[in-house]
Amino acid sequence: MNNNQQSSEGRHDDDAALSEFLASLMDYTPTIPDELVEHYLAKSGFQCPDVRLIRLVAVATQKFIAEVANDSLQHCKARQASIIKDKRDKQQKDKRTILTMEDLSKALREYGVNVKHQEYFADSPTTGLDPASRDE
Amino acid sequence: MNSQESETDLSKFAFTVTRITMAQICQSVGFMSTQRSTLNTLTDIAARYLRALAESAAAYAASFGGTQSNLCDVVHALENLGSVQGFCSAWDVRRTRTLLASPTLVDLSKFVECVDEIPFAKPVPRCPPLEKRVITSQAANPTGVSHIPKWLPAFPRREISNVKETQEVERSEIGIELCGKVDGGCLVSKRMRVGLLLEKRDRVRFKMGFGVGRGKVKGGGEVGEGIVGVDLRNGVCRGGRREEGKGCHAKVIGILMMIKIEKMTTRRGGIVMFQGKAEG
Repeated sequence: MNNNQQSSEGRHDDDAALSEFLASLMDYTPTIPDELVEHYLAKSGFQCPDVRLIRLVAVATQKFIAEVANDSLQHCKARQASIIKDKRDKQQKDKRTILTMEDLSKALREYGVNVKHQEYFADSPTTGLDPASRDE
Repeated sequence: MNSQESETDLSKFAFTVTRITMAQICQSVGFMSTQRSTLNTLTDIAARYLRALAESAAAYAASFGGTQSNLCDVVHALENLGSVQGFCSAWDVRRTRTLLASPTLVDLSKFVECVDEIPFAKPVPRCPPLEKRVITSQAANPTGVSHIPKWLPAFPRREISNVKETQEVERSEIGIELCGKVDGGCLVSKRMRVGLLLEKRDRVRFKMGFGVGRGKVKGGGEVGEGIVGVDLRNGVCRGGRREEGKGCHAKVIGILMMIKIEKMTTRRGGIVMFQGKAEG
């Protein structure tokens, strides 16, 4: 009996928190505009008249991308910290945090997304070979 | 073509808008700049995530027999996609906590509280709805044709072709396709065929065997050959005489609709000889 009461009280709290969250969603403007989200949702067959659910999906995507970006930033900073040089170089490098393919692919691997990037593109098949073999 | 062009333009537009959004998110996280290809990749991933969420939620809604998704479907989809990374109570298969108290929602609410708003840089114009295609039947279907739905386009104009042409077509296309003759690119219905064939048709003789056999056709003094491929191995043809007029070879009768079978004999080996008149 006590357990049931506690669980029902817990549910009330959960419901209250959920309704608060949904209400706060209407105040929060996600970065991804609603029209864009609606376009993608319509493409996938998602039908819902409720604006709050659209905002929920937008916020979820924003959170996902923010996490990925954060992880790649951590990778970038870890790489910069490992290169210990003079104080000047460190400051210069700290300012230039560039999102590279390397960091992004490392960050995405934990999310189950495999992104492989071509390192370089050669002009012809014989580029970079010895001149003797190139003549052939 | 116009619709195709507008679709590609629309997808390009959506991609560009998403790219700006991703750039804003990266900037808010702390990046100063990014490579162009990396930003394109991130945009693609964001679009795929959004669509995966939507597809998953739509699938959950459909599995419950509805067309519109609700909060529970979205939460299911979120948990589905978050299972790769893992979340707090992913181990809890029996769900001691309700779905709406899912930790994914809790994480989202924390994200909304902590992270500042980043409104989109420019106003996005709302895409006008695509023109609805109105199916108009240019020529109303004949009223007697009740089995054809009204929303289908009308049949092409009926042209009364020469009888000779019909006969030639018949001879050249002898085989299983006899039940519908191809005239002018459309399959003519049985009823209309009866109206087209004016002359009385010649006697037609067929020979059918196991697998693909050759059938000889006599018509109008010419002897033509057609390939008849009817497999009678299903046990329909059991040998022995059968009375005429009785439809024991239902398959064959279905194929040779226009031919009235007068006499039928079966021989050993399953070869069935038909002699009949072609009805006009």
